Amino acid sequence: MFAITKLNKEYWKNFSLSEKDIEFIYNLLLEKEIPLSTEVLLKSLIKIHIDQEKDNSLKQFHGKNKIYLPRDEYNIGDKIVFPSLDMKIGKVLEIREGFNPDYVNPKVIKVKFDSGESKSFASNIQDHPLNHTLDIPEDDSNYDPNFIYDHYKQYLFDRLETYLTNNEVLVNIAGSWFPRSLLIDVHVGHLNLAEAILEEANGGPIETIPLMEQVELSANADTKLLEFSFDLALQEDKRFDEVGPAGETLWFLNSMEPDSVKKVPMYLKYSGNYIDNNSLTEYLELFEGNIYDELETWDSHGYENNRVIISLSYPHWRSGTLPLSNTLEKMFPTAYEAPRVKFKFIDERENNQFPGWVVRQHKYVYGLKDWYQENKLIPGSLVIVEKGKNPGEILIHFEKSRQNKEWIKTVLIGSDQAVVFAMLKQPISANFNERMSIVVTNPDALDELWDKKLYLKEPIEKTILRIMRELSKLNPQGQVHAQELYAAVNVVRRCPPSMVVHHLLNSPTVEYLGDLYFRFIEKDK
Amino acid sequence: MPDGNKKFSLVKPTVDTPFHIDFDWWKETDSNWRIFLFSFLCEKHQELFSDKNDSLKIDAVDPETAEVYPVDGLLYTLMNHCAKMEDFIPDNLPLIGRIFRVFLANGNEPLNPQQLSKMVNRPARTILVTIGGHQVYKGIRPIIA
Repeated sequence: MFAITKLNKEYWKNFSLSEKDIEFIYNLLLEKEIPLSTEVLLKSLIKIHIDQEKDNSLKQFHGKNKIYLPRDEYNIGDKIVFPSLDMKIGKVLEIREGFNPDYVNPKVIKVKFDSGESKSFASNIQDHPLNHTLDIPEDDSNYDPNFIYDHYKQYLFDRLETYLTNNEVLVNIAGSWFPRSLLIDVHVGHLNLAEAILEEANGGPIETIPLMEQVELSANADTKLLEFSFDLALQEDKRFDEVGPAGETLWFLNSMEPDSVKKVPMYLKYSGNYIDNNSLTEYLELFEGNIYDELETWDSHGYENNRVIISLSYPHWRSGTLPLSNTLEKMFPTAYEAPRVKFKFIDERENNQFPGWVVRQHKYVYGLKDWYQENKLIPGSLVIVEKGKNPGEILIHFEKSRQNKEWIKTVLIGSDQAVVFAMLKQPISANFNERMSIVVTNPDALDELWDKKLYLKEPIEKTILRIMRELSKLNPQGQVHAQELYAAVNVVRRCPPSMVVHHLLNSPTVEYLGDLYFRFIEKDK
Repeated sequence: MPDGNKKFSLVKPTVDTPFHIDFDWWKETDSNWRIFLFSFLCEKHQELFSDKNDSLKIDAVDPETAEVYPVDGLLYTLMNHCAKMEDFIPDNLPLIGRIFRVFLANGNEPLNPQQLSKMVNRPARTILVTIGGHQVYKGIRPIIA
């Protein structure tokens, strides 16, 4: 076997695209005449690099001489290196047809070596062990394009993607690339028809090919290329949004998308700082139940759940959304590019299906406003989310509460628009997280505070302490649990839990009592 | 099928003495030896050789170096193809016939009676007595260094 050692980790780590690579990508796209994904392009690029390095190494080792392989054919005068004869070099003197029933059209070459000795060798025979002299060793994964792709894509994928993205000659849609100049022109009339068809379908979504068929788009070209061209024309027209999960291209009419999908609901907007929560992890871990907050990063990217129980916060309850935290992101459909992905919520117990939207960029899932209301859920209710049987389906339900009424913190708005909390008996339909539960009897009144950004005008630590003071009135010891405070602060403005804990731990007026309980330091102390 | 009676050595073979088919012996003692060998070819190759020159040469290819040697076509085909077929050595053949086919099947690699014993399922001594005497059967002779 022939060994090439250059293709190691360092080679791929330091890999950068050369002019030759770029030419290769263009040629590949021109040759295939269909759009190719970054993954396919990268795998092809890796393969060509392996082949090139093999060729280069052979040339360096043997100069211009050919390596003798029984499968090859030779010409008179060719100089050949014989690996099986200690790399002896010989010159082809004669060529004749061979006869051997074991082989199809074998040839015999007579070779004269430098020593003067002549020998005859087989040529044009496919089945001989020597044909594999230069093959890549089977157990050497460095020559396996799939292995290279799997192990070094962290170095390679982004570099290629960045190059392709910055390249004006290429266009991308749904993860595939193609030269713009080779695309088929799509007339605006077809796009107008597409708009009308989507409008008829309540905005969509409709897959590209059925949409193409309905607008009667045809051309004397490959269907994939036509589909890609149509996709691009739709993508570049603001009237249309691609809303399909990864691997599917679905089109929706932008004007018919829910407002809360196109625009982040005000309850979810956070403009404050982020705290490095490494130092707060020990406190955040004491939160009861799993806290999924899209503003936090502590729940692992790698941990994949099929079932997650979410304790609703007021902003999500009011917006009809769920937080797309790291864990939840893995459960919901995602996309290569589409900023919004449409999917289906299924409430199996009620035999109810309704649309949901993953708003990837702003990390929330929309579509539950009516469902929350119909089921009389409150902030703090436990919502159970599970992966559906089919991709693009999410099961959603809740456990019904055994009690009809419970004592729960209730938000009351004073005539001066001050927020106060009182423990009141409230009707309950679903199980809830006691620390997170809050009943807002008059959300419209609370909306006014949000609309006027009353609390947003002050520093967040001031809001935290203001709400803490209100909560501390609910018990004689004046103790406030950080998780309850997190839930309560979010009734008036968006705030991640780490920010609440950070300010509690660093406030000179607050002391930590342990177990996430805090209270104001008494003045006479 | 005439049997030879020419003495070739005074050294007495043992169960460890290697034997093989001595094709030179065939050439010297039987002018029809190729016709005899022809009968061992499989159907496909009998067809191939029926209309070919009797002295047809084949370009044998060395399995390691791919060097080409012109060899006797009939013998090459017989030993490299036909004798490798599953039913080439039937159980019901007489001892000499089976030993002869064993040598054809293994490319005429030398084997001693002990080795042959395992292949034809007969005692090594019986094999030695049969093929180690003065009488030469089907060209099977000891290799005496």
